[in-house]
Amino acid sequence: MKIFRLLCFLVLTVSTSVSAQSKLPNVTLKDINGKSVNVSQYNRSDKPVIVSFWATWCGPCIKELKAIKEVYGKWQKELGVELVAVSIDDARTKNRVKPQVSGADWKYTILLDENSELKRAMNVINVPYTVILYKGEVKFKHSNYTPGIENKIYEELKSLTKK
Amino acid sequence: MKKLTLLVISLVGFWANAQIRVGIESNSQYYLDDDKIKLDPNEADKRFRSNNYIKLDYAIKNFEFGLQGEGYYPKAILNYNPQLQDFNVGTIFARYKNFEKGIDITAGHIYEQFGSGLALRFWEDRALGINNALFGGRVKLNMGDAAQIKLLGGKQRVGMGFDFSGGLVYGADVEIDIANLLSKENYTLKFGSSFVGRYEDITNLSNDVNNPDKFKDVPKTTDVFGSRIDYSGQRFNLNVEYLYKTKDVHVESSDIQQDILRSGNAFLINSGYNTGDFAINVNLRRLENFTFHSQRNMQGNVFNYGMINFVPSLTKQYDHSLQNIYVYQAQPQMVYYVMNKEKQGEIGGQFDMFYEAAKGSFFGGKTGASFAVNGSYWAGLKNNISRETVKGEFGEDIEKVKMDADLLAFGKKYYSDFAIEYRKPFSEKLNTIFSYLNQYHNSDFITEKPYQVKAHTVAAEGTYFLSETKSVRLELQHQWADQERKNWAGGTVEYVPSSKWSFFIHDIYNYGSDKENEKLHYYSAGSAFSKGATRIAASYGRQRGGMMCVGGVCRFVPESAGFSLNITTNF
Repeated sequence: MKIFRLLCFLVLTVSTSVSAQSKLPNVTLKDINGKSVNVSQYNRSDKPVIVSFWATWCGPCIKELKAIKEVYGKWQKELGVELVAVSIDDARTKNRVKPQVSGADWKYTILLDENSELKRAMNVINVPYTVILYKGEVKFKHSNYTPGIENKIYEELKSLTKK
Repeated sequence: MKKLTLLVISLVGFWANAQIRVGIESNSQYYLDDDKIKLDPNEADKRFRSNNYIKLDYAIKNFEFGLQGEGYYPKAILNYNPQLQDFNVGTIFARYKNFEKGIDITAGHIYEQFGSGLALRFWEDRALGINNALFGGRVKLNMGDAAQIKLLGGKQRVGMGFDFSGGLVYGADVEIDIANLLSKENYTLKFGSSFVGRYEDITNLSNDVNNPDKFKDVPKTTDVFGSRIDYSGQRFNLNVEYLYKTKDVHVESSDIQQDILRSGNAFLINSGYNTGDFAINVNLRRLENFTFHSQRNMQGNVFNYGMINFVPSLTKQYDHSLQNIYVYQAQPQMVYYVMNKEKQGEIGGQFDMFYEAAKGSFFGGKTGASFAVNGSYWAGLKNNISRETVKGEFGEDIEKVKMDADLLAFGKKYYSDFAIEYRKPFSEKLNTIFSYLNQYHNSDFITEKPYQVKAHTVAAEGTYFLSETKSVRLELQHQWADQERKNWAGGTVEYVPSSKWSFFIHDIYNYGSDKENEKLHYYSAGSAFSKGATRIAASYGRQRGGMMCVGGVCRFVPESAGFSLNITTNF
């Protein structure tokens, strides 16, 4: 009986902690202009936030961000969503981030994760990797790019915000 | 019993504020012999190999505890550092982080980077088998948003978590945000300064009985000092970095050359300009004698362990497989005793241009288009060499080489490339990408093969949507090369029935090789499934041997055939 009770508590313990893990971690990165941003601030946002890990050398990532660009204006207007594109480019390619973003005319918030601190904290292995955060909780994760994924993301956003 | 219940309840309360994160990665290979490709007999005892990582992080209030377990069992995948073996702790740490007070203290394995990494970078890349985390302590202090100070010290991981190199590494970095101090909002201006030291005393380590004092003048400490300035405005940005390494003995083919005592330096400029739909960036770099390892004789090891600084090749990393046959590797190292192949470093640069042609514009047409143009040129430093012959202890002649380099003179050309990429959606349903790449690769100097290669590569790809999330992608590539294995042709077909599944068939065919036994198809077929954070990919086929590069650091991968399975997940 004791053991049973203990087990119950352990299960409870693990489940509370697992549900509690679905936030963004306390990691500070620089944005594209060198300003510091603590990523955990997005946990307090009451609008949906898309966090998308990408790199300039990752072909599928560029395709995904270009595809979302076409509908981003509409998403922002309709759902108030913010897309935070976290570049994992390191010293070799980080100088390509700014011209890529500006040349492609992306209006996203760009963060630089030059030594993979956020990538490691969120256990991201491959890019692209996309999560949707809503009211402080990660509601959706997707771990690669398939053409048309923006339609799936849009559906998720709509069902989250019940619109 | 009550006590126990109370304890458990308090633990639950304790845990409820906590966060646990778990990340799992497993990469396995089963090597097969087919009629053309066979596993090296020295490796054939273990045909199944697997690299596995499990990472656990526990955060409670301002504390974090982390553990990464690694298992290379029965053996690591081909051509990983042989010190990566069995199950063991990879990294372990405890951290106190208080964002409001600006304090961050870590004990255990540490990842870190100063500036662009030219002085210090501790990082992990599992695909390359690199984990050079520092085991020791680090303190980071934030003075408001205006200044950040980092201090660290410890021993460097070179194999499993507790296999360390010989030297002791310590460093400090300060970054001051001048624009923040001046309360300027429309630009950022930062100034940074770093110091990294290595203590390695080898003065008593001569194993030459005739010359026990051989290393008596080898410095016990070697230091790198660097300064950098970063400006970023609305349209224009500029970063300049200069580093100096104090005098140290030269190491050639793992041998310490106690007579050659030289300092090193690095100079890096990056500058960019952008308007809404057009952007350009230029990178220039000069390196002289700028390798830095936590143990001297680890310099030049093919598994890339023991690196303190990060010296990536500044060239574009391309998408297609044929574009990645002739890759450049940065050449910060010195070579004295290979006649006509002397090296002291590298000098060169690269540029990138991006242009988004709007819908309805001249270049954009009805559906818009994107252009990307890039190029690079890299050469050795111009060597000023003099030789003198001295008498050895038995009266034999020994040739001594002396070298120095001019500041801005270019020596032997190592590499150049020029590429154009054009992306064009033809309709809602059809997206295309066309690219052309021209490369010059001085294999003689970069990979020690007796030729220089000129290569032209074209690639075309189209993705056709069958429905919103169902698509077919076709990719075709061709490369003309005048050396090595000459011409290649390749193609990929990928079918994506939903956002969960994908299937592919890929082949590259070396039809142009002069040797009959090299006229091979490297085919593969596979599938990937992803749901949430879980991704499972399986494939069967052949892999071309060569350099596998990520972020400008390369690992040699031998030719192989067989099955592979990759699983990643997190929760």
